[in-house]
Parts: sequence; C-alpha cells; structure tokens
Amino acid sequence: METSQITGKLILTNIDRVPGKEIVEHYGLVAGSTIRAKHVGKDIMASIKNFFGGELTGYTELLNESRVEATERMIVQAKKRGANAVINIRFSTSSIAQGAAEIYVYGTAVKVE
Amino acid sequence: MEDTLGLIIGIVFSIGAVLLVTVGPLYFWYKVGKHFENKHFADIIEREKKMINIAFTPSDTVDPERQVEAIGMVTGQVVIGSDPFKRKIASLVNLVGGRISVFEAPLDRARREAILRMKEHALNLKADEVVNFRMETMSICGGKSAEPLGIVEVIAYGTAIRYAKS
Repeated sequence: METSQITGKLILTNIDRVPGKEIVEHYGLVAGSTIRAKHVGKDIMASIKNFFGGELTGYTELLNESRVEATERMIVQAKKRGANAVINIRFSTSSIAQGAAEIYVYGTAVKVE
Repeated sequence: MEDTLGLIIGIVFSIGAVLLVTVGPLYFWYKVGKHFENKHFADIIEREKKMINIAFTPSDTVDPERQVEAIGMVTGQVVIGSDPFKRKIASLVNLVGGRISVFEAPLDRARREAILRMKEHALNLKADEVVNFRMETMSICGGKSAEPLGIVEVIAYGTAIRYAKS
C-alpha cells in the first residue's frame, strides 16, 4: 500500500500483529515526537475564522504536519534497529503552549516474515 | 399623564437599546454559525452516504477466511472552531454548571469529519476495511481563559486492510 511505499517497505499498523505474517524478532519501543507552531499570520487567520465556527484549516495543516514529522522520526528509529514493521502504533497529543501542537507517536518495532 | 407616558416610552427605548447591543450581536452570530454548521452537516451526510461501503471497526480482528494483501496506517484529522454565540453561552452555562449543549454540535462535526477523512485516505489506498479504529481528541489552545475557545481537534486513525482478490 501507499503508506508502506513511502516509508520504504516498512509496515505500519496499529494492530498488535501483522496479518498474514509472523513476527520473528522484537526490537522494543520506538517513538517520535514533535512540537510545532504556525506563524503569527496563520494564528490570526485562525482566530478570524473562529468567528464563523468553521474548520480552522491552518490548524488542521499544523496537526497534519506534526503527525507526519513525528511518524517519520519513529520510522527512522525503527529502521536504525533493523525492523521492517512497526506494530501497535498509538498517537498521543497534548497542548503545551497556545497555538502549538505536540504529537507523540509510539509503537513496537518488529521484524516480520 | 404625559410625564408617565414619556417615562414608559423612555424605559421601553432604553431596554430596547440594551437588548440591541447585547442580544443583537449574539443573534447575528447565532445565525452565522448556524448557517455554516448546517452547510457542513449537509456535506458530511452526503459524503457519509457515499462511503458507507468502507467498514471501520474498533476491534482488531481481520477476516481469517481471506488473504490479506497489504496493510497500512490511515489517518484523518480536523480542527473545528465555534462561533462567538456558542462561546458566550458556554461561558454563561459554566457559571451555573450543567450540560453545555452548544458544544455538542462542533464535537459531532469534528468527529464525523475526521472519520470521513480517514475513510477517504483508506479509499485512496484501495482498502476494503479499516480495523482497530481509534480516535484522539485534544485542544491546541488550552481553554484556561474565562471564555472557552471551543476549538476541537480530532485525529481518527486505524489500520487499512486490503484483501487479495480471489
């Protein structure tokens, strides 16, 4: 699938196994986190848009970017350990400062066959 | 007699002016917010009908009868704000406590939109179903100020499964 192509044949899943394959080795927990903020212009745009109660596109983008970056960091870690799949992936989010998003992605790096 | 009439007219006008300043803008924002909300809900319902075929489930069981061709993570995220009317009402309700029903609509919108985006992602990957579906709700702007910001952020994610065509 597309996801595994982007990540260089690394299988990502949030189930605790890889269907149709067998886990042969465990490499432990891998994690990636990122804190991102948008520039002031986007913040102002978001507060204006918040007057109409619609989608805040700037913040959706921010969330998307943070997720992608955190996942990439996790993938780099998993590859370093020689894994070809990351299972049991979880997303955890929190807010640290106003207009900033923190996303923490973690999972178990494994080798499947 | 004319004095009392003038007094009554004065009182009525001043009450009217106060109402116009306080309730007027609220009513305006209520209408504006309602308009965009209804538009979005109509759009959501339309898309939900289109994507009814993609099953998503919070359980992690994969059909053992069929062979799995590929799997991959799919996500959908959305940030939804709320209009000043909702925020004002919410801050008023906050004083007395109780159910803040004005914030139920934005939450519903955000959740359904996030699920739809996740399904769209799954559709792009030609997946048959999404298993182990999870949802995370949070807030970028912490709502510690007196007036709640009412910004909802939702990430919906799961594992897309594509079965081999037999």
